[in-house]
Amino acid sequence: MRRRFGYSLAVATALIAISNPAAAQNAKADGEAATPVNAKKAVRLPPGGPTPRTADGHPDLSGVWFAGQAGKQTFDAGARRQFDPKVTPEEPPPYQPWAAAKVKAMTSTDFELGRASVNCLPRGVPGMVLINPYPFQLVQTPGQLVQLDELNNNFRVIPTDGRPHDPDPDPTFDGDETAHWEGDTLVVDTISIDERTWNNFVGWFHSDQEHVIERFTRPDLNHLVVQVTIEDPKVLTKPWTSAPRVWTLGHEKLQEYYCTNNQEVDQLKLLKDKESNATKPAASK
Amino acid sequence: MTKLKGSFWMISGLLVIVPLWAHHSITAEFDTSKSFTVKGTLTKIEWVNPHAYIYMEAKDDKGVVTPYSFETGPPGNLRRSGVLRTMFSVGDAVTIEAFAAKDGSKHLGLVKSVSFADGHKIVIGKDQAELEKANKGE
Repeated sequence: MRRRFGYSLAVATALIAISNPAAAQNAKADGEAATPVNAKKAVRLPPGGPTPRTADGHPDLSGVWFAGQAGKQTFDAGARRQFDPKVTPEEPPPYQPWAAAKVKAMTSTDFELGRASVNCLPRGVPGMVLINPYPFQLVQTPGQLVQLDELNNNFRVIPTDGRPHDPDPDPTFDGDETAHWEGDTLVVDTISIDERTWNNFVGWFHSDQEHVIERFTRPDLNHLVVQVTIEDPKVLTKPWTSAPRVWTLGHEKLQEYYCTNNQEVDQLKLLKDKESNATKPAASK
Repeated sequence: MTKLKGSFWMISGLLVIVPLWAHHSITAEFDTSKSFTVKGTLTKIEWVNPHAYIYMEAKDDKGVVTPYSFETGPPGNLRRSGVLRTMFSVGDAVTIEAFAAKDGSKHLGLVKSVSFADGHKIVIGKDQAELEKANKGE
């Protein structure tokens, strides 16, 4: 019974921590949003102050960044949203007809089995900014930007001195990256991306000719904005550009996330087998 | 301390709904329109990524033991939501409500809630609408 109470108390403490206004007030004093994590309406972070800058005068992109507007994990789906599709709509991928047909033929199980994340593979570039709801940390030093992803404990180191691409790069999940500053915008240019990555969760595959341009800005203290352009002459009819997507500054450390207990793939393969068996008799008629 | 104990009984019904199953789509693997409830004893706690799992054994009237496995969220997101590994222990008598696996297995579920013998309850996904709303856009 004594032991039981210990666990009960743990539950009580945890729930108090996320429901007690006093605890929330303390969090506010520490610079975090005052809303409890399970609140239906999260506080949208204000600008918070001017853009921090490094000694060389460039915006300092360093910080722990959460997707959306709350600067933390939130249950408020509106606050998690990174852009308003009514204000800055995103076009669907402008597939070439053969690519559109290939994606259209995929089932929801195919979508799952084909995406890198279900297989515990890196989301790579540009997945780590386009389809990554977990926080990441940016560490900016003179001449480089380091992105540390909570998801899968992935990282990338981007040279920011404007050097040319490697003339003969190997395909990798993060590709061959180089970056330069255009005013206050860091432009990251990536080629040679491993073809196992997708650009969304529903089949947007790419070719070895994919070219990704990410534009990073920090308009104020609390906000990071990234806009992504994807060129892929073998798969798309024209370049695709994302909405400017928003991240907000968090005040907590990243959690460890090594993907070591992946039970999804076996389940999904079972479902795929069932789908295949279900379509066989129809095909033979 | 006394006040805290009192507070516990008052807040034991609070909900903790965890979003962000971003590793995979919930609806590809689970049928969020079908739920089941089972009573048993926790046999194993796996608090690792990409998803924490809790395992239980249920015994029917004839003494036949059936093992169950239940998927929950990623440990980091659970922690940020106030759900900790130490809230679950092998040997705990619990009642688990879960969404059913799409493959028809009766022994795999996605946790909606875990109710403990002393009356407290941890709710991870209250209902289909809540869960889907919490995971929208991912």
